[in-house]
Amino acid sequence: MSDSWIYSPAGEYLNRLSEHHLGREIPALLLMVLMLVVMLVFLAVSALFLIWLERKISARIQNRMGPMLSGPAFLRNRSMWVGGAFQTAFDAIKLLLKELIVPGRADPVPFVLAPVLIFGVSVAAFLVIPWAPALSVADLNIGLLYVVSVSSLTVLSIIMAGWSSNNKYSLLGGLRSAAQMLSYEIPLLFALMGPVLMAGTLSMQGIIEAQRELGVWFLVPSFLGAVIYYVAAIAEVNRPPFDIPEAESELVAGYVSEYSGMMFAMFFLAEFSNMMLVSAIATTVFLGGWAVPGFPLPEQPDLLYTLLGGAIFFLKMYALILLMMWIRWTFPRVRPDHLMNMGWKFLLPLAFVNLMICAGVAIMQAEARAAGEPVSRLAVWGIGVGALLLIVGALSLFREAERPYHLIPSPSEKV
Amino acid sequence: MITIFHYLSLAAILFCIGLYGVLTRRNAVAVLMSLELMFNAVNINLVAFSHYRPEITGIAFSLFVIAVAACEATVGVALVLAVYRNQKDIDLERANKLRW
Amino acid sequence: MSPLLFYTVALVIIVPALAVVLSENLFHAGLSMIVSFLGIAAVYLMLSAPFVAAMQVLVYAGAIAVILLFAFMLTHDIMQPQRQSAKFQQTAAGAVCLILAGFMGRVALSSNWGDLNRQATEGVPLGVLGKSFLTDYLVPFELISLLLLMTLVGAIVIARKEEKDRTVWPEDEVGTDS
Repeated sequence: MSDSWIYSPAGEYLNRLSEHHLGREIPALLLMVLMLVVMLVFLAVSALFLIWLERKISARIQNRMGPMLSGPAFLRNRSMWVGGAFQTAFDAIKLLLKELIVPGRADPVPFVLAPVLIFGVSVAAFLVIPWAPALSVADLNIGLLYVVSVSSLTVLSIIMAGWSSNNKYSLLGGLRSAAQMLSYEIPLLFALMGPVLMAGTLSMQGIIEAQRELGVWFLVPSFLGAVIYYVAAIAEVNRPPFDIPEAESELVAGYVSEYSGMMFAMFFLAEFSNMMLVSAIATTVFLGGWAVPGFPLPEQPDLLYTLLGGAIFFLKMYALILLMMWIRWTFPRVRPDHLMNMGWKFLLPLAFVNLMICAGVAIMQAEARAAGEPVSRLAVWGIGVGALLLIVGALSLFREAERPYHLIPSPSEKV
Repeated sequence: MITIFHYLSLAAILFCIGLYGVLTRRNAVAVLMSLELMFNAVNINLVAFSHYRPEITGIAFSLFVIAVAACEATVGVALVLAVYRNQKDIDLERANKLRW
Repeated sequence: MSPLLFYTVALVIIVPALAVVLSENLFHAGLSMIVSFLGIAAVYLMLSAPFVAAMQVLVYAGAIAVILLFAFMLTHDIMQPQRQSAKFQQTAAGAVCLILAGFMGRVALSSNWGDLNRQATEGVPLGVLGKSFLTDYLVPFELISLLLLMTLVGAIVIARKEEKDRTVWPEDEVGTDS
């Protein structure tokens, strides 16, 4: 197995540090375990923070205050953002202490393995995310394809959870969720193909490099693709407004109805880490990742630059996550058949249109490369804005006909 | 050292396991699952040859095999569902209505 | 490439494959099939074909396995246990498969593969693969797209309910303006 296509910048970084301080390299296996442990801890802590953030933001949008009473006495009932800081930690401890119930007629092996699989898949997909110039655990040649293919295993976990619970509501929720996730993987893939065309590579760091070279984020020429990707990503993660599978008023709790304790916590954690994953991919592919226009890269990525890049990446990622939370409380839940309709008949054709636009930009890039000069930024902005206007104009032709209000009888008329 | 013989024998064993499943299983869906194992064995063969020689044919062909296997699984499942709807039973031993 | 890694991955492929063909519970068979597929993806990684490995996970483990599990769930009859074939059939099939495996192994071992036994090459760069799909392998590429279209249409037509069985929504009968 050649290792030209698997290159671990974080591993090299740690090796350099250890050689500098300890005088020898870390053995490869220990290095892998170390990076995996760091990734797991990071995910768990981030998910904890995100759950608290979601509850506070939901509360703010709904004009209430969220959890306020947990924690030491001097923290309770202070301002809204200080009040319930320890709530998530206490929730986690509560879930840890609960009994893991496996229903009597349930199939024990898939029942217990489903939460493990879904969280493991999430962790595995995080391995290629480029947090900073030299800080991705593995910079695979096929990075984006790897993330997408590994994320497609979450469908299996949901089917396992739904079927092995031996509960018809779980099964229905699991099958609905699987159908939804499978349907929305396709517009997601196609929306990602546009930036891959423009970047010429599938590697995540390579895509960021291509955006720095082009001078604009891929959001600009591929705005339609970004929107399609974002909507499809919300559907993939089963977030509202696409959360029929977990809707409490519809199917008890969908495919997690029979789960308790830490297994339920795993599903919950996996949902939040999937949310972070899709936001991280969107920042890398559409928002330029850790790059900011106008910042040159030093020869050797030093600590300050790494931290700065990481901070920028986090800012963009959290902006998208906050947007997801905002969308949750803005739109009503989408009915399953409307959902399928939208995925197949609306998003997919638009994704093809976006692919054509990005192909146009890629041709411009190829010509510019052949002529030896950089691509004109004005042209890219022009294509982006022009395409946006064209598509909005075309879509506005499909508005519903105005209702003939004069035909609706007024309350005073006898019908 | 791992030579090509190791990969070829792995593919042969996997193929024969799949073949046993196709010949023996009574449930149509189980037969489809064993059929997928056979497809994968063929793929291992192709990719192994493409690895031990500087050629691209094996990898390209294996991607076509993956696509064709997806098509075949889809149509196979559609047929199984149609038969199930008609007869409420997909036991292959009892699917003998066309026999003389 | 260490032999230990190869034999471990081979075990991860063969043992679940045996579970697929021998297991009474079809759901367990489906899940073992998925494990086998992931093991095969590991084999592709060992053979310097990361693109094929990603495709294997995406298409086989992520889509074909899901189709087959759906098929199982939709046709599962809990009243009837999974029956096995006659003993004679099982023995005969086993004998045929063993003979075939032996034969193929013998052919593989005794053939003169020439200079094929040298160690790994670098693996095919992705750009070269992509270009070859549009130059050398253009015809199969286009035919595959046609095949996929036919499969989509054909599967939907075969699996849809008969006209008389379809549920009629009230919206279909009364005209609405939505």
